[in-house]
Amino acid sequence: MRRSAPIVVAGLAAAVLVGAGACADRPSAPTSPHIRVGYAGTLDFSDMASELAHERLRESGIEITTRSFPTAEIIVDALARGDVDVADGSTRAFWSAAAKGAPIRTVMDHVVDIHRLVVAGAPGCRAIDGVRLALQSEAAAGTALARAYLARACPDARPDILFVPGSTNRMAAFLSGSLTATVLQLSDVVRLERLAPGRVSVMADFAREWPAVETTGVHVNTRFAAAHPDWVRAYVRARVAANREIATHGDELVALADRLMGAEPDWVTLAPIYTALPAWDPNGGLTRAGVKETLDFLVRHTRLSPALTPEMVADLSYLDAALRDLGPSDRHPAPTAHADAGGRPATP
Amino acid sequence: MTTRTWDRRVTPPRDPAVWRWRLAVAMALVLVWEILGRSAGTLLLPSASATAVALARLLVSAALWRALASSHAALVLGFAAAAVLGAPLGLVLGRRPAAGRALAVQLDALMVTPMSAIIPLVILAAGLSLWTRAFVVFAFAAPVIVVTVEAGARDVDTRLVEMARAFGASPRQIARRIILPAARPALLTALRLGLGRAFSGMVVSELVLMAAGIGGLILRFQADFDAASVYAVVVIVVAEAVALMKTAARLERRLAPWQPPGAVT
Repeated sequence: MRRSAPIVVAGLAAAVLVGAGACADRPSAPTSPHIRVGYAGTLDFSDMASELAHERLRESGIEITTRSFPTAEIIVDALARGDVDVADGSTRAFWSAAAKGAPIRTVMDHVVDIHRLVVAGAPGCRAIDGVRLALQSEAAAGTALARAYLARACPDARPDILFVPGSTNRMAAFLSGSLTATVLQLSDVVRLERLAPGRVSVMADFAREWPAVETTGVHVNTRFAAAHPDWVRAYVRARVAANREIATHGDELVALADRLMGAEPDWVTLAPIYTALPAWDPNGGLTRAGVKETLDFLVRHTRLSPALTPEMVADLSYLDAALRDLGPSDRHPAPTAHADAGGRPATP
Repeated sequence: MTTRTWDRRVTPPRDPAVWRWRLAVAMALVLVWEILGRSAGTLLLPSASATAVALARLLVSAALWRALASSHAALVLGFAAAAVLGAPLGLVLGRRPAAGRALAVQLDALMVTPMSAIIPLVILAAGLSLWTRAFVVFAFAAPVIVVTVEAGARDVDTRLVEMARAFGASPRQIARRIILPAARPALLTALRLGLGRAFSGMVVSELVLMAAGIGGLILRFQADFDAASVYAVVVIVVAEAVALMKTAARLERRLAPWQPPGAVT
């Protein structure tokens, strides 16, 4: 008996641990409209349209709780498990989870791609040849866009590619001079221009190069959507309405950013850029053709499963319903510009 | 009163009961892992069996060995620098109480500073290179080494030092013949603990500073929701770190046999 004591004790401990895990409480389904929204990292300028939509939804009596997650992978898992009902974030990450069977569908666009390929000095293919180019991560859509851009615009350039997580880290490396080229978020490009005027040139604006590639989206848990289709429809409608409100009252964007994130001098620079793009599509951004093009692009340039079909990753019925309610907007989304990509300086 | 001593030629007897307990705990953990992995319904927790399959696949892939080689370059550089600079500094601080007190706050601050929060500052100061990763490894390992060696050097029996002085020993002789041998157990423990911290620093630098080596591999698998491969990489790193720390502990017993196991940890 004494010899088997360790096995008995360890077995009991295992049973207790597994039992505790199985009995962990799950929140019961709310009866009054309540949507839990998740986003990755801290609130940034790209989240202003969604925050405005949340304010409008709260005013209309729908309870919205937002929760920040440290990384894209954790928020994807949280959505798949039902810890949040809706999440904003990288299309590639959410679709990778959908390929693994996660109950996730993209229902509309979140924001146009806000990444820019920047170089020190004058832009052009020579500026990128043989220099250190920092990208986000091997799997990021931004990395795929940068590689596809270089293959198309500068096929002979051979940059020394390294991966540096975090746009702020890449900006710090750029400022320290240890990088000559990198991919940065729009807000970091603006900050860099303020901190080191004249040192940075924008070489490519991925939203212009690939306007149909949706790098970020609004994603829902399909079980939640099936249980509460009206709530999801109301949510998507509010997001589209907020996009339109910003498109027509862009001057209020700075006040909104000041209120939600604290006053920053960069908001004044960013607001007209975001509204001019427009960063938040007045028609919700996502189209059937866009889903297909994004899927084709991500399968071709990242390790996304080629077995995925548009129906497995996106559900446009909620956006269709919102557009039926609100009517289509004549304001066009991001302009298309596939021409002269070989080093043309673009405005950020 | 009896004094327990360890003879370098005599290793502690192996108790079969200890091994039974170890095996039982390991089996229970694997069982819990397997059940939770299968039932938790998360993309981020694979089952133990899926991890084992991924581990077998990974061990024969060239990518793993390339990543390990890249990571270990930073580990060796950073840990060597931490040992070479940290151990003498710890000895000096231990024997010069005023200096020890003066630097105590800075050392404590270094021990608790969340390194990932200051990565942009590290990049601004040191750029992006193998040396920067080695610096992060150094920053993880050095404070532990300094503090542990300092404690060991401070605890050297002052009667021995005074006796040596009374017999006319020079400061150099006192350092070589009394302080260094007496502080040796602490020094070896410091290197062992520093090695553990250096491993953490290696992975953190590759996850947060620059996606390279083992950290780069983890980020790649994470992005594909290949959790089994992520855990397989973690198992490899942990296994290597534990093996190295066990080797260091054996070295400790060999080089400082008068120290009871686990005396300074």
